[in-house]
Amino acid sequence: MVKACLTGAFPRSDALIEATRAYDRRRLPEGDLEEAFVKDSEAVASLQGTQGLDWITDGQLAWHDLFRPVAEALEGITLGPLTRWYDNNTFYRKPIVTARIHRRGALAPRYLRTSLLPKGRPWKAILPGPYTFARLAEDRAYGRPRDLILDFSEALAQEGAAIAAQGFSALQISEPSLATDPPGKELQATLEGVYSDLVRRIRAEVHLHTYFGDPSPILPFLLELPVASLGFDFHQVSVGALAGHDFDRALGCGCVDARNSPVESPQEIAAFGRKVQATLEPRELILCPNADLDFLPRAVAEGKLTALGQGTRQLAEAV
Amino acid sequence: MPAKLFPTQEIGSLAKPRWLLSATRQGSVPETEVREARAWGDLVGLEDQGEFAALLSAKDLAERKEEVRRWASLLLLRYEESAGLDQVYDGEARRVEMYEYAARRIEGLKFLGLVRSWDNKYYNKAAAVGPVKLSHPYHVDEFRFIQSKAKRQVKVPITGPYTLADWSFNEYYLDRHHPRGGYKERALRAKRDLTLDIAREVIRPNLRALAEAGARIIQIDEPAATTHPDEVDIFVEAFNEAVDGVAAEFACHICYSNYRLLYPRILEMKRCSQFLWEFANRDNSYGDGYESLDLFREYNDGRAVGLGVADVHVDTVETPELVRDRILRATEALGDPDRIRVNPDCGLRTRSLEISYEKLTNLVKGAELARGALD
Repeated sequence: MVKACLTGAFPRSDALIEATRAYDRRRLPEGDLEEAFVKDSEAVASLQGTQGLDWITDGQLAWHDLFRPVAEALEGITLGPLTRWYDNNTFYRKPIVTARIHRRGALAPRYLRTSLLPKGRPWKAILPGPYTFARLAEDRAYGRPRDLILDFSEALAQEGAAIAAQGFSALQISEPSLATDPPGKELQATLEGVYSDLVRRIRAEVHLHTYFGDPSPILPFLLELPVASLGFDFHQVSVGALAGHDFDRALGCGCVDARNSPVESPQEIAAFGRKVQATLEPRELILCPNADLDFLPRAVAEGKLTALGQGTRQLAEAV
Repeated sequence: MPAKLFPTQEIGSLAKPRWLLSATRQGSVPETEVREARAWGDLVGLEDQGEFAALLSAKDLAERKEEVRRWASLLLLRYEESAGLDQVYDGEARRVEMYEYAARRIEGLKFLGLVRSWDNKYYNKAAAVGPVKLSHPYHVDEFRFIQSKAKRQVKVPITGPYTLADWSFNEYYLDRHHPRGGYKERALRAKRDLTLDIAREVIRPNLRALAEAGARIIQIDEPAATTHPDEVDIFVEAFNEAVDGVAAEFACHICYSNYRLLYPRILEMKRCSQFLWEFANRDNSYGDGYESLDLFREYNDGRAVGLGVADVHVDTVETPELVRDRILRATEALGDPDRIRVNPDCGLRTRSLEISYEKLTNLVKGAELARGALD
């Protein structure tokens, strides 16, 4: 079985970028800005549907960074300084944990545009992972990463359950730090418990996506997590580095490069998928971008999404 | 050693005046913006105000863009001078943006579209689709004009080779490398090629032309320097290649970075006499933003420090007393007040001209208070 999906935020259209600029300069009313977001989110969802992606997202067009929407919905967090997002020319507001975290309420509607997603197709939502949050936030309340991870995970489980209740069939947990800065044994044990709890409490498939780094040093630990799929950034790790393990689940194959402009051909994507299938023999293959296509101009991202859909169909037909 | 303790300096771009945008985009300036422009002219002591007023009321400004930009350059030069800065430029009034302005003048780069930097801030990103080459030195005319008008010492900012490479997609140089060794290694080899080509074929000729035109102090802006920790050696090599054989004094501005990642490799940047870093952004009730200064002692790095004392991402204006305290904090960390220059964290282009002016004047007052505190 071969599937395809996005793994993060999609870039805004030039029209939406212009609308946000006009709004920031107080030259556009809030209602018009919202209209621009709706129109563009519909376009992104529609493009995914047209290209046959197996889960549809709303493109996360209002997300300023991976943490902001979640941080806004939690007590105990304030927004800190602009900070580099891994090794990218992109910046996020560092969450500063000032008190014990607990969930204040659901994500604001602009961050999860359920009403715009196509009926009759599976939907996917994306949330930040607890390990990544603990690594990139500034902890001024807990002292021990384990305690911060546990409280954040509790909020995440509640949010995930609420998202599933809205009709989402898949929830992706984004954990780039698992690949860039792998946890030690003690935190691995904590995360095993955390992910078991998330999978048990969220009535949707829980997918784990790693990126920006090579997760092969902790692959045995990752394979212990009871998630529906494990995703890898194949622009950071070679297929060979993951060989020799039993992929008894779906594998997220991040083969479309979200950080450089050459658009992969459908043939290249299908060939890479074949190589992963032959080498790692996962139960199911999910072809996807290695990270958020938001690192690209909109037209390039659309080209890559189209190639992803075509490449997936080519591989599926060959299989 | 500077002529006085804690000299203040410009560091980068200012917001474009609204009248400048109207003049260049629409060809004329609305009356409200004319009044605004003339008020700024009065405030900062702009000369030839009659001529400026005549320009602002003209209806054919779309055909007189060069003249319009010269006035904007002069106005912002006087803006920085009247705020009290000791080293000035023109707030990069003629440059659309630090990356795009340069990239538009480099053969081999092709623009692909807008890419997010943070929140609602985007930049137009190009891809290297051929060998990069300078078509014409792109800061000399701007510099000559400013130098001819300036009443204070001039420091020229120029975007550095590593940042230009890092902020571009890389197609041509990637294609030149065989995928042997994996994608990551191939991308790294391609990145080095692109960066060094920009250093040698684009930035060095620019720097030479500036030096020949009389530029004495040049600030190379490298905000991307620490983006990829495993590429710091490429950044350092590119800086050294760019300045090689150019007769000028060089400073290097790096912001929003983990500065520890730069050491010890940046000790090899022998021609760089000053690092201008961002500190105020991280200096708040939760922590001391000036801890990175300890690196200079730790690595016995005796260079001057361009001390960021004003956060460029908030409208809150730092009080002179806060600026003073930050300078004194840095004096304590470095143990040598002579090595400290005072500036905002980064260019103030995301703040209004009103807020920026308040920040700069308080920065100057704070430096004066710090001088007084050490007397």
